[in-house]
Amino acid sequence: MNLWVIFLTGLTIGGLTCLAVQGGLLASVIASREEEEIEEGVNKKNPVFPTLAFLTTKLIVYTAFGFLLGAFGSVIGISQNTQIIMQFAAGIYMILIALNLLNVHPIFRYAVIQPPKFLTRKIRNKSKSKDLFAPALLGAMTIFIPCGTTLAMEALAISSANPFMGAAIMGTFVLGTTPLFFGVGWLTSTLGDNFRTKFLKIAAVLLLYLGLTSINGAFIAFGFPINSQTIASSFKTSTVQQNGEKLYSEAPVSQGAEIFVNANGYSPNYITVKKGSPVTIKLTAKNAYSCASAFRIPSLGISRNLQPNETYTFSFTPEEAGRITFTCSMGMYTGTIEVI
Amino acid sequence: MKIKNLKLKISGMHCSSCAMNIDFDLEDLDGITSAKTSYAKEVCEVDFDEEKVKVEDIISSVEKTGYKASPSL
Repeated sequence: MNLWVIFLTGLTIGGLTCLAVQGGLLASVIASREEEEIEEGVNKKNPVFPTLAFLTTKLIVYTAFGFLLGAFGSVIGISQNTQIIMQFAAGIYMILIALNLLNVHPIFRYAVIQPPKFLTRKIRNKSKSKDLFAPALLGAMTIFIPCGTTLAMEALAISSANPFMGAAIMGTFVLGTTPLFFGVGWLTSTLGDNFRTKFLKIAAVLLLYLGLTSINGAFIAFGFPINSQTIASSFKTSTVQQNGEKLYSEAPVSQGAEIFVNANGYSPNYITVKKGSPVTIKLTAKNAYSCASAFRIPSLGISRNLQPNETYTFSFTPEEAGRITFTCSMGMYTGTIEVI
Repeated sequence: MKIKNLKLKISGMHCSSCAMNIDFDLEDLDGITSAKTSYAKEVCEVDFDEEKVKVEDIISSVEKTGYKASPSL
């Protein structure tokens, strides 16, 4: 999972969709406070504190919500297939939102679920409150008025099927949206419409990327024969053969291998084994809080959710030469067992 | 008090937040009892008191928020 892409999506889209309405609400609540303070004669004309309060609670609430979404995903994703379907659906949803941002067809406008009126009204009323904690409360309440991209991120958090991953996704996304809140007035008036349209396009491309990665991951995790990995490896094979090099020279052949499960994937992620005799693989999870800890070999039906520092050993006997893919449950981290 | 219903065609919205902003600004106008903008349909439905607010005021409020509005039939 590339959290940087999520951060960038937050940064670009945060300038617009989130800011468009939340920035207005924030400005309104700051104005209400100032009015009150001017009456009391204590106004320091400093909007930084309420802005920080707003953003901090927003970040906390969204991260906690991401945790819940991930936990929810892990509950309904107990069956591997449900999780793959969810991930696939999340990918499709992200692509729909991206197509809407790119103005491909008005039909995609319907992908954006609009929050119900009674909620938006409640939030609007809060923004007129003079209460000291109003900015913080308002930040927390924005969870009820998600924009299309936020919804797409929430779908991604569910499909991660891991509370920590879900929290990381939502937290990173919201963190990405924060910088622009400090330059609200300046940005929108100086840069204008042209810039806004460009920003939307960047966000759309990032969302497309996330959506496609998600679908591709679902394909890999499902063991579907066509995905970016199999396409790339077929290219690699043909070029290597053209050059007349020995194909599997990099990895020594061994029927027993230890694979370390790290936060960012598997090491080694390429092993070579001989067909016809049993292969024993020992998995050692280090600090595996990412989805790499959900180890799968779709073609062998092997599925194991590793706890941190757990080791798990399994054996199988490959009968024919070829490639066996191992992957995390989301298809984000992968590796290959080459059978010769 | 005479409540009338008006349907406006809105263009220029790029997300559902825009729809919310239109509603927020409209409902701040005196004489408007409710405003409901749909991002997907690009339509805004307004209930308003004819004696207090004119159709032109409603349209200019939407334009002030930053979008184009025209009465739809």
